[in-house]
Amino acid sequence: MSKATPTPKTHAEDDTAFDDWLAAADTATLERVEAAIDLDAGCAAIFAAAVVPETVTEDDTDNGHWGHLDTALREAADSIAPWLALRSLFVLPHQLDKAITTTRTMTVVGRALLPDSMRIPWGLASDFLTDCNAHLARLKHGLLRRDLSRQEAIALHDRALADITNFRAAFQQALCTTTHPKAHQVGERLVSTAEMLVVLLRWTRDSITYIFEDSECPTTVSVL
Amino acid sequence: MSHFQAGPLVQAPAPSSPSSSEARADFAHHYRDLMPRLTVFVMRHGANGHEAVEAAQAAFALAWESWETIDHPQAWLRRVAYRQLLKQRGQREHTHEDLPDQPGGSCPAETVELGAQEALVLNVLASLPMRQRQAFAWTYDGFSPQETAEHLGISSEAVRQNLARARKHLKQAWQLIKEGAE
Repeated sequence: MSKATPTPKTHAEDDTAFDDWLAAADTATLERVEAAIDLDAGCAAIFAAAVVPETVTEDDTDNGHWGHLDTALREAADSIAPWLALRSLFVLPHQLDKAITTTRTMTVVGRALLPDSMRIPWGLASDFLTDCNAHLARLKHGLLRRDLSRQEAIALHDRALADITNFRAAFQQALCTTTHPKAHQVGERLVSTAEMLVVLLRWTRDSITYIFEDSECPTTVSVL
Repeated sequence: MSHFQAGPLVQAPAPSSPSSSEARADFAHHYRDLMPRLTVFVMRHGANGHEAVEAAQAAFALAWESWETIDHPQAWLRRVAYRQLLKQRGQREHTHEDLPDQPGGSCPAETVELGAQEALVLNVLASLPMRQRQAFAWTYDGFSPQETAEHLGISSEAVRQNLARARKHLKQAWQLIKEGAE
């Protein structure tokens, strides 16, 4: 049996192997960092910290009888922020309540404040809000009575999330068809609120998953 | 217990979120896309996982306040994240009291668990002079020597030299591993 001397590697081969090693280490580091970071939580923390109550100017309040509705929508969006800063099983019912009341407020405000020219597109978009409100209410009551399976709870949550996402997309498209300044002012606020709701609902999914743990039955932990 | 009274690391103006829905969506997209990579970038400067996530998160929080005015977020975020790391370290070295809250809220990460090879690369980098770490970090994030030089305020030649030195040290560590394995 011959004992051949291994061919010495050239610098180029060595460099290639070294670069491959560096690239592999970089990829592994990135994967481990990605696994460690909760991107939804990080983004929500920035959004939540940046939300400050808007000052109601005289111009805003001069708008007559619906001024309080405009203010209600601002407050609805702003008051979502604190719930984004909390990630606990025990705040889930409050988060769902906040989402339910916010969809209701959005429906009332949109109906009252948008100009007549937006009636039809608003009607189509607000159907999604109505569905979202209904799905969230069923989810909350089902969890309260503990008569939802894991699959049913997740399905209701997914539908609510899809509803608010669809509302945002449909309403934004409708806004592009109008140049009415008031429609844009109110519309921007509604879209912004919808975005906050999307983040809030993504937030609550983990809690819903958790309360079912590994079984099909809701946990006995009293969360609601 | 007395409380640390200093203000936030960066005294930013009152926060103002991007004015349009598109800008907000753009920010969220960049956050998802860049946050992990930005964290690794900071780790290459000698930060541990927690420090790096904090610095990267703080950079994004500051970016949010002026998102629509930032032309090149990739470079902007890297510059700011690096400065945040230095500021965090300065704060920690000068006080034993609680640190003020960082921009961007609490750290959104669990402990970053690294494997042996990844930890070795980062440990070697952490032992190098800062210029070498910077040259390595910017270059391996896809910036050319010319671009890196502009961001670091040094010459392209200095970038190449520092990168070569960093690679030399890393290669020595790699060869030691190879020899140990053989």
